[in-house]
This record gives sequence, structure tokens and C-alpha cells, in this order.
Amino acid sequence: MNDQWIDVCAVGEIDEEDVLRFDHGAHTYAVFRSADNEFFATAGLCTHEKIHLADGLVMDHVIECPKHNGRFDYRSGKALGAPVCVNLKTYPVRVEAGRVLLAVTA
Amino acid sequence: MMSAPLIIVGAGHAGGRAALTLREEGYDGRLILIGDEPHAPYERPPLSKALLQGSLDLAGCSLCDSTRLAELGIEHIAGNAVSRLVPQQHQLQLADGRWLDYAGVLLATGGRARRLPQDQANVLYLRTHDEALALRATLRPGTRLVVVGGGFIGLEVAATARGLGCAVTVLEAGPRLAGRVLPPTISEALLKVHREHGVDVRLNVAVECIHADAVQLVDGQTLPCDLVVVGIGMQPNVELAAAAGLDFGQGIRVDAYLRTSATNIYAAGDVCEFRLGGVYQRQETWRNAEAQGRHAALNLLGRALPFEAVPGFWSDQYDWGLQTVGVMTPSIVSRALPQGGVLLFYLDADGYLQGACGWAPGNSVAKDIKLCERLILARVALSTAGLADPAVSLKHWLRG
Repeated sequence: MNDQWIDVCAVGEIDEEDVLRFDHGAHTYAVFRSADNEFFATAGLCTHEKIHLADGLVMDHVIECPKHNGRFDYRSGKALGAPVCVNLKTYPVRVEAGRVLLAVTA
Repeated sequence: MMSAPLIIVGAGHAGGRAALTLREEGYDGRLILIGDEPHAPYERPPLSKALLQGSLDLAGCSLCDSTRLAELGIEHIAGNAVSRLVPQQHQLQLADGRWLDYAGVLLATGGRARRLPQDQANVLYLRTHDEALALRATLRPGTRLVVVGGGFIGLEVAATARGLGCAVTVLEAGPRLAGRVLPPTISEALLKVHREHGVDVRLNVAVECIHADAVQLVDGQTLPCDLVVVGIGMQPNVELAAAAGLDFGQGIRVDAYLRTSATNIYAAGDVCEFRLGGVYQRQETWRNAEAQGRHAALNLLGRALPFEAVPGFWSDQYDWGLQTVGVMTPSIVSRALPQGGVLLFYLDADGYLQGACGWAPGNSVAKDIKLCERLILARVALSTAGLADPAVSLKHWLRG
């Protein structure tokens, strides 16, 4: 099982302290840019009712689900309390030549 | 002697959330959750949308399944209502005759669909999972459906039924859709999207009677149909509390701590009548069930926390989403959103934000509504010009 790096977007396509939905194959991801310019990625759907997290609000290091306000720390994927109790899967991200790359397991 | 259990009456969203919270917060005494439905606690919003459409089942709406309840030591008594509550004795009685002692009670009895005086085979209602399944079984391509009531249940059923290929007519007695809880701008937007999707929406109409194959209006018109769904509101289940002598109005009355007028009895969720902005009212929303269920559990454990949560709700119809937060005021600032969406801000006399209501494709209005909630709580000074300007990020006011 090797990580496969996939091109997501240019760095500038995600605002600071914001999130982008990224679909690849049968999967959907949420790719985050923090206020201090670090990039992270998690599974794209909330573990509560499978809502796309990328419509949610990013504040500090927390993504809040657009529907039921479930909150996760997007750096670790940790669920921060009801109604969410299952953590988000996280994925490695790196920036290369101005592009955001996401590692998915091949 | 073992101390008496905490008992939650009503195994819906509020009751279920309360039970889970009690365990999360370390309560390890006996805990009983009683509900008249046969199912473990579930969330109701999908009933008129994904579950009705067939893309989600009961497990997908579940708050926690029976395995989880058992793991947590929550005794779930299903399919069995509470028939009597005796606060003076700290006892209650189940419909099957059993008596239970309690140390504390949460009344989360919710409500039932308001019904027409006569039961008819072709008239369906939607409040519970089983009612949603019964309705789903009747919605087929070409089914002629008349929806009585242009509120959220009626409109969501209409949208889902259109998606399933039904021919849909919506009858609303008032001059606009969801007029009790939405501003005219949003009612107009709802009307537009439903008509664009081919729903025959009729406002200011009254039903004379419902026949086996048609709905007859007061003005003499007859609408042939195969099925009628009546969505004319919810009847709060106050009878148990009322018979026990607890204070009630349109719901079970509570103080700022969600305490009823009886010792160690709390209320939460759709049935709970509490003061918001000084006025007694109920909130029939997912958000309120979630927040009050949790809050009442904390206070059952002696935390004595006043309930101060900001209200809010959402609705999904076709590819559009509505979200609100806070309360409406007469002072409104409107902001245009991309793709024809709109965001309304409600200000108080001093210019502080009190509420917001947005309508936009998908869940795209969610970020702004969440920022509005934070702006309400932070009491940030705003400018009406900035609020009206889509180029001004709401976040910048929070960052100072």
C-alpha cells in the first residue's frame, strides 16, 4: 500500500482559514488552509449524517458541519462533542511549486 | 437502599440526547428512557426528505441504536407510553400498568401531527418514522398528491414527492408560505422555487372536505387526487403534565433552568414552553431538541445552568437550503448572495445583530449563518452598508 499524491488545486484557490471540497474517484475530501497558512485534509463527509463539510465554517482549527454544527479539529480529525462522536479520517497534504497535493492510499 | 432512577419520558431526539448526555457526564445510576414508538431515538428532519425519498433508512437517522443503549446501561422501554405522573409521590405509571419510582424526570414528550377530525384512508400525516414509511409506500411516479398546509412539512413533502415524479398541489390557507416563521422575502423565494418545479401552489384557499378521490375547496373547485398529506402543525403532548398538575400553556412551562413547576421534573424539546425574549414559546426544531435535551440532562445532575441557547432551524427543498439563527426584528438589512440567494440580517434598535435568515443553493448559506450566530453572541458593532455588501466578509467583524 503506497501513498499516491494527487494534485488538488493551486495554493491560492483556498482562502486562508477556509476549506475546499475535493472529489477524486469515488471519494470526497475536505482540504483546509489554516490562518497561519498550513494545509490539512480530512474525509469530506461529516461522520454524523454524511453532509459535505466543505460548506461549513472554519474558525481557528475547527470545522463546523453546515447542518448539525458538529465540530472537528481538522488537523487531527478529532470529533469535539455531540452530535458528532466519530473522528474524521485525515490525509497527508503537502505544497509543491504552488500546488496543493493530497496523499491517498493507492 | 439503592437511589431511585432518573427517568426520561419520551425517546425522541431530545430524550435520547438527554440520556446520552447523562452518561457522558458521568451519571452512573439507573437510567430509564421511555417511549411510545417501537424504535430507539432518532432524528426527525430526514423523515420528510432523504427517508421519504428512499435514500436513507432508520439506521441513518438514529441517534443511537439499541446496542449502544444497552452498552451505556440505558434501559429503553419502547412501545409503552407513560399514562400517569404523580409528582407528590415521585412515581409514574406506564401504559402497561407498571409503577416506577424516580429521583428526577425529564419530560420530552414531543408532539403529534395535528389531525383532521375524521380519519380517512387516503389522508396521511407525517411526524414519525413509521408514518414516513407509510407515506413513502404511496408516492409513485404519477401519483396525484394534494398537500394541505404550506409550512415546512408540507413543502418538504411536496419537494420530495416532485422528485419522485408525483403531481403535486399545495394548499395554503394563509397569504404566503411558512408565513408564521419566515419573512415575506423568503416566502416569495419558496413559492418561486416550488412553482419552477411544477408544483401547483395555491394560497388563501380553504378546504371544504376531502373525498376518497378528490379535495373540494370552499370556493367550489374540486381537485382530483390519489392521496392527501396534511401538514397543519404539531399538537404538543402536554396531557401527562397537565393531568399531573404541572403548569402549561401551549406546552409544558419551564423556568430558565428548564424546570417545570414540579420538583425535580424538567422539560425539553418540542413540548417545552420556555421564555425567549420574555415571551413564552416553543421551538419545534432539531436544534432545540439537541440543545435542550443536553441542557436538561446537565441540570438534572444539579448544574443549575440557565438555558440561553440561540434558536435556529433549517429546511431543504429541491437543491435549495434555508437556514435561520436568532430572532427576527422589524429592522432588516438584505444582502444578495450568488445564484439568486439572499441573506437577511435582523438588527435591534441599537444596530446589533439579533438574527439572520438565508436562502441559497445547497448548504452554501451555512457559513454566513454560523458567522451571524457568533456576531449575535459577541454583540459586535456592524455597519448596515457592510452587511448589505456581498463583498464584505462577515468574518472580518469577528477578527476585529
